[in-house]
Amino acid sequence: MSHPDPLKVFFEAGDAPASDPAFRVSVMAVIARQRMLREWVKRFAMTMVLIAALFLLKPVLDILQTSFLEISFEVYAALALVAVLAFAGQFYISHTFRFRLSRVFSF
Amino acid sequence: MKSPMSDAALVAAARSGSDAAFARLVDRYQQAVRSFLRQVCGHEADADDLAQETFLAAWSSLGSLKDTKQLKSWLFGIAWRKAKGLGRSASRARARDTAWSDLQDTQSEPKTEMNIAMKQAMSQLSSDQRAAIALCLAGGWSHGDAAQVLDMPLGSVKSHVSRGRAKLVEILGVDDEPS
Repeated sequence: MSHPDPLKVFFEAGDAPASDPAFRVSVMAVIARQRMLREWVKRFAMTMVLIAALFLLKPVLDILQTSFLEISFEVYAALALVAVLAFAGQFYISHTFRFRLSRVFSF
Repeated sequence: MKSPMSDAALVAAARSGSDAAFARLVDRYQQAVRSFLRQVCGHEADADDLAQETFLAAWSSLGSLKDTKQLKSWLFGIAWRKAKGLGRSASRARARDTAWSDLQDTQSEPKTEMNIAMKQAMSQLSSDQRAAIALCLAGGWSHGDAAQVLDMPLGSVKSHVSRGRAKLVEILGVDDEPS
């Protein structure tokens, strides 16, 4: 018959507790911070890409801007009317307005 | 009664973004990982810091875990690499997160004489010996599994365990003869 290891009791004296909610909470808090940091880095990178794209497209945008200024007020009014009708139609069908600005920037 | 979820199910849920699943994995393995690191580091606060970093690293690279049956070995492998990194950087040991340290001070269990004696005895072994002893003698791992976790040849692990154990028995003055 094998006898128990006399060192075992010494090792057990230094064991971490079997259940430690404080440790779990601390780990999950670090993970939450890490996730938030990653999210911010990702959004910052996307913003930088957007700014770079706008900078590169500036000549084209300048041409478009000039073209838009030449369009008459009636055309803008017609576009606005179409947008209002689209929202009204969506509300009539779903009884909710689902347009959220945050979704435009969620990646 | 609800049966506990398997590691594979929890890993799959954690991979798809479930923090609750990962928290359960932390609950499941925190004692083993922290006890191992306490044996290797000798300083409880440092060991708990490393354990926290181990779980953070595990969360970050959960996608790289190929076989979920190897989760425990994988976690211990990360813990061991972190512990070796701590050993190389002595200054890191004192730069601990004070918030966690303060929290621990209020909750730490009373030190027993046995615990203190074992810490002093373990401090006289090399870090490789401490790790091999912590896994094979304290944790009940096989030499083969320990060799895999510690990334050492099997012979080295056996040698570390044998020599380390003999040294601990001598320092602690325990009766090692079968009764």
